[in-house]
Amino acid sequence: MTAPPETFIVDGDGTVLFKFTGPLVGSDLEQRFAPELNKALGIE
Amino acid sequence: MARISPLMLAPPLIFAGLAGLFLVGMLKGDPNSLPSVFIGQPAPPVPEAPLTGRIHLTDDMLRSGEVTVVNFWASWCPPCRAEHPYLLQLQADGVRVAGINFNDTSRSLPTAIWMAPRIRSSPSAMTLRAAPRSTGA
Repeated sequence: MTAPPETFIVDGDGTVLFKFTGPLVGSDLEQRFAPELNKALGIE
Repeated sequence: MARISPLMLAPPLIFAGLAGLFLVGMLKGDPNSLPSVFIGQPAPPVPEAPLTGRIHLTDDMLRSGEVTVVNFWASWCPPCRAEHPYLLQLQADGVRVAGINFNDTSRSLPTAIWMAPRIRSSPSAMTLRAAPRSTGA
């Protein structure tokens, strides 16, 4: 953790799957965070 | 014709070299795509300082089989406010969202009203400080 906002996706076993630095808005959200979250949730 | 000393060429050449290096560094990939050392590792222990009156996020909750989005935020952080609607939406969609408050004072936290919905409705709430405090959602 360096500075907020930072967001981590943690799977059901407590393993960190993905780290996102910066605000969850705009194209970064759509192109980087959302696909990883969908993958973690098993949503295609 | 006047001869130019090689020493006179050194400063502009050094400058040009450094400028070239910086340019290559700036254009070389997305810094956000740098892999984190946490990826693939167990999540570090969650902070043990819960926000008063909130559900305390625990390590066991992070290992309960449910995917959790762990967000580090602070009341003094404008980008945190910008992303707040998305986190609320995620939570409304059924995704477990845990907020960990970073480096806020106990005096400033209660005024972080904008975070209240996340904290109030969260299954967990805690706080982190310098080594973060966490408020869960």
